[in-house]
Amino acid sequence: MSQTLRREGVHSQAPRPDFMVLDLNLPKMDGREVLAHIKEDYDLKTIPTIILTTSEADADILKSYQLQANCYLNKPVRLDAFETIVKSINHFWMTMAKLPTQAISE
Amino acid sequence: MSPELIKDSEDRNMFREVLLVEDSPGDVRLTREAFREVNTSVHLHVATDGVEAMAFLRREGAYVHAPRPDFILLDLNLPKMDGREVLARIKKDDSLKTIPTVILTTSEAEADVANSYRLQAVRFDAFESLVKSINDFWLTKVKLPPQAQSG
Repeated sequence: MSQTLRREGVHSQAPRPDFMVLDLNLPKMDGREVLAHIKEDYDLKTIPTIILTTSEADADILKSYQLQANCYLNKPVRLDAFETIVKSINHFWMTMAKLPTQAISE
Repeated sequence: MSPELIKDSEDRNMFREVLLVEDSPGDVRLTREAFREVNTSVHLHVATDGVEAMAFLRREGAYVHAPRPDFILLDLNLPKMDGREVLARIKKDDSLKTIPTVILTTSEAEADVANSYRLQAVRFDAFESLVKSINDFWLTKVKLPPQAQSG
């Protein structure tokens, strides 16, 4: 995961993401740790990072904001609700928000 | 109401305390009217400069009883203390930094966009349908930080 962001190994040609959607419960390195790594890195921390997870625990919500997640969304189980969430992420972040430009943020 | 009561209540999500930091009376009025139309459970608080915003957030002076905002809308060009400085102070403060802060400004400067993201905020361009979009996303879909633990 963070190998891709740091363009390590087979990810050496990976583009810099404009935007990230991150689950919390992941194998090998969990999403909280990935988030912490991203937001501690001067270059990576400008990439808007959205937490999308099934966890509704207050502790997970609070921890994510403490680690400077840009926002926290619950991942719905139903397909139609999932589609609505993806559309709303697209509407706000891709249409309304001004994302940092690649040249300046790298 | 104490933060614990808000957390324990079934109505926990009923009211949203929103702080708007904006010096233009016209924009304040438009924002207030737009929120009134789209979400009647928003309590919109207004600070008209950066110093006032920080006093509100830190509950100083006239703001001893100010609620902790669930969400902040921040202009960049403000009198006394500008929005960049307000953002930096919010994000350096362990208690305040969990409050999602959206930058709402006329500035198109790339440097402002990059610097705002470095401070972990979001920035907008247009005012139209903005409040509705903000409400639909941030106050409806997004899980905001729980008040009890972060307050």
